[in-house]
Amino acid sequence: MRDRAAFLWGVATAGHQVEGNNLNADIWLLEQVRNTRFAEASGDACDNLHRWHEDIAIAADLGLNCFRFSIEWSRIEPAPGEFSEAWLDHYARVAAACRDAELAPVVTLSHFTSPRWFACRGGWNDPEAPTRFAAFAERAARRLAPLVSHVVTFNEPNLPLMGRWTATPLADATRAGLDSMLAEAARESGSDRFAVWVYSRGEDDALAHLLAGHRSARQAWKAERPSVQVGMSLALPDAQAVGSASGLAAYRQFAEAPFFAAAREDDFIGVQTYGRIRLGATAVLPPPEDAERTESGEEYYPQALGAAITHAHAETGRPVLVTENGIAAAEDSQRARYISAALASLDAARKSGVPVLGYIHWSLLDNFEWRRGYAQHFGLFAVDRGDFSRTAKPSAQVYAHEVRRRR
Amino acid sequence: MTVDRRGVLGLGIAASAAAALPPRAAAASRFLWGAATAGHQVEGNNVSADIWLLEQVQPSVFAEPSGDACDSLHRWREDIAIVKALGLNCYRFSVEWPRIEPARGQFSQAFLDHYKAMVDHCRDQGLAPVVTFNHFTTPRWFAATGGWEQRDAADLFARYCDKVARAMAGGISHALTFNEPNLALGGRWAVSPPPAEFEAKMAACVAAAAKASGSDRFSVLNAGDPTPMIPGITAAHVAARAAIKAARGDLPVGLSLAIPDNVPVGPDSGIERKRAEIYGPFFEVMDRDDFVGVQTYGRAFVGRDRDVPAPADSPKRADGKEWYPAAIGNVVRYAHAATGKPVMVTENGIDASDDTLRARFIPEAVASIERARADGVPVLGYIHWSLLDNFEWLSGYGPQFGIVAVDRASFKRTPKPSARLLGSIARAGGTRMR
Repeated sequence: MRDRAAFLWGVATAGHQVEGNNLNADIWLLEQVRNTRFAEASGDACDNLHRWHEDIAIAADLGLNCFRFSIEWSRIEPAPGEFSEAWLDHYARVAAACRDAELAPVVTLSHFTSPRWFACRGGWNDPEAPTRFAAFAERAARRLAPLVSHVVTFNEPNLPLMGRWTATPLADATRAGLDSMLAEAARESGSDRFAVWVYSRGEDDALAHLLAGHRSARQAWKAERPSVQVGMSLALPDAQAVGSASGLAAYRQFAEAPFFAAAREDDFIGVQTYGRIRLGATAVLPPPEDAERTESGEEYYPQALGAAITHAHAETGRPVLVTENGIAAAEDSQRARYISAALASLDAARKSGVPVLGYIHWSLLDNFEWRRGYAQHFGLFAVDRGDFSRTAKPSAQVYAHEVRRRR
Repeated sequence: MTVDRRGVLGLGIAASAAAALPPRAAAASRFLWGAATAGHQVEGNNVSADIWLLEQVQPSVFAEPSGDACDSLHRWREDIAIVKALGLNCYRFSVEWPRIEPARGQFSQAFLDHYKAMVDHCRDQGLAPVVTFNHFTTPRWFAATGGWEQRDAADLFARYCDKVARAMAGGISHALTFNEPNLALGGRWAVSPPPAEFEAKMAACVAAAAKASGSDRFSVLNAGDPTPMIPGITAAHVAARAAIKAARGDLPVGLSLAIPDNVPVGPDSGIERKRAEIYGPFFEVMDRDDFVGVQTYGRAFVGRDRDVPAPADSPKRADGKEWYPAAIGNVVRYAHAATGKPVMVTENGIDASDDTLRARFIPEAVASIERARADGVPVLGYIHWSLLDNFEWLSGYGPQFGIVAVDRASFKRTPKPSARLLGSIARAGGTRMR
């Protein structure tokens, strides 16, 4: 194993998006309810559940030294207080295989999904939520701490807060659709509630509980092995003010400040950047007319990464780990250009003195991109939806080349 | 008598046997010596199964939840290696409908691949895979929409069987559509009916599962009145057999029934009525089956209207339970006489924490089958229940039917002396040459 000081070059996955058949997860049910707002169900995803060995091997073959994956709480604790040694064993095997392949395992504890039972108890609105999450984190730490390099407690917990600065955080129809989907999931669970943070309004109480859960999880891992590096990963587009009345300050207050405050106690700040957002007085502005677009219709803006890294470090004083950066690209050549440009902005930020621990590309595989299903192509590898075979795209070699140049 | 695992609501066990390699050619000739498991009882984390939910709701009739079971989901290669190392030539296991069709109409290629890999690996190891398509568990969505009582139950089951058969029928030795679909029917003949208190708890458990599914019903064969479910199951057997045969016409198909060695008691014993009630509905739909699977754990003494306690002078174990390993020989004879089909012993075993009991049980049971064979009864194989100490439904992990012990924390498998004994019988081709 490389010492921790080595710059990490990695690829990322997330359990629900690649494993498949995550049947006990809250979001699996949201995909299945009759009024779902998901374009399609996750189903088998990439069958990483059976093919994780292959995924580690193809990452290693690119000459990387880091692999990010998430452990699924809903597998490890399928019923409240009932922990699965079998699934802890599974994730321990994955982490150990990363080690064997000289890939530092970066492990996410909560990548959007929670157990169904957790959602039925109100998710993060439940005052007991921090204790529940801490118990899970503690069990995971006991098993995985000796194997893991970095821990990301939460993946993009600031997402529901990104619209709070405006009067209309989400288009009414979108919000109403999410609410009716959540209500149906509650009904199908025989529950009076079903709360999933990433599809919530980001209420203050729930946020406080989530941040308490973050601190407890960090303590649990530190208690198990003090040298494990713990942080959380934020969705950090390069937020830019447009006009003198821009809502940028308000945006930062809601979507960044509480998380940066928490991160100041952490070992690192995880940064996840895909592009920029331009904030007018009351709304996010559309991309410039002539802007190049990505597959998801966003502006192609790879240089956002350097700005986001610099900002995150300035706000927290913590070293930065880029835990996600990538592009939905129908044409793989666009991804290749994106990678080179994003890494150039990373180089510039490092040169200017920002401490950066590593860069982890999203994603290793074309995968289940939540409500948009399988239509968004973020992968360095394509995955055949019929037989799950993985095929490297040219951009995978571009990324490998860029890494080789810098290692 | 308390409600035990063979009792009215005891969700039972399973096993069956198959033939030699290669898959098709030599299939009929080689006697199968095997050990059995069932998905929900050994895999662990079968979270989309109806019974998983029944284990989790409040109140639950289960002594404990299945949890990780034996983690065979990850350790199935090790299980197959043990079967092979013991000298057996057959492994019976089940494919889990809740995994293969986790949501109605949404089939998992990943889990079809998973089970196909098990079938293929058995073949690679020279073991005949006997595969159960339904071993008690159904998907949650199926139970919540009415289980076997819903109008299209047979079509739904047949569609699932079609997917499984098309994915892996080529490697399967023998297919069992159902495991002990008659078990619940035996309840009305039990020595003593379940206490009202238990019945009430079962009803509350099922109601809680319905509520947790946002449904007004939750229909599970071994957790309610079986009468309205049986027509759905017999129709499902016929439809499933057709689906499997359509995928591979020469694959032997049958089902396994729970049949004790019924002994008439008194001049007015109801034995024929009991048989007609409990086996009759299934015998009726087995006309085009290739074999009949039997699963036997002892004798039943049949009085006029229900079973009666064993006679005081019948042989007993030290713990007071009846001791009659030869029951299986009598059941093999009966099943063949009643159906005209070759018989496969798909389960036979003993709950014994003292493995020396099992080591005495096995040769006596096998010898009783050998006597039946010597008398001309066609028997395809002997599959012992169970390979592993496992999740015995309502009773949880208390009963020990395994020829291999499983550490509940580390899942480490340790063969017991009875395992080596069964292996030596298999290698010798029976008890006489041993």
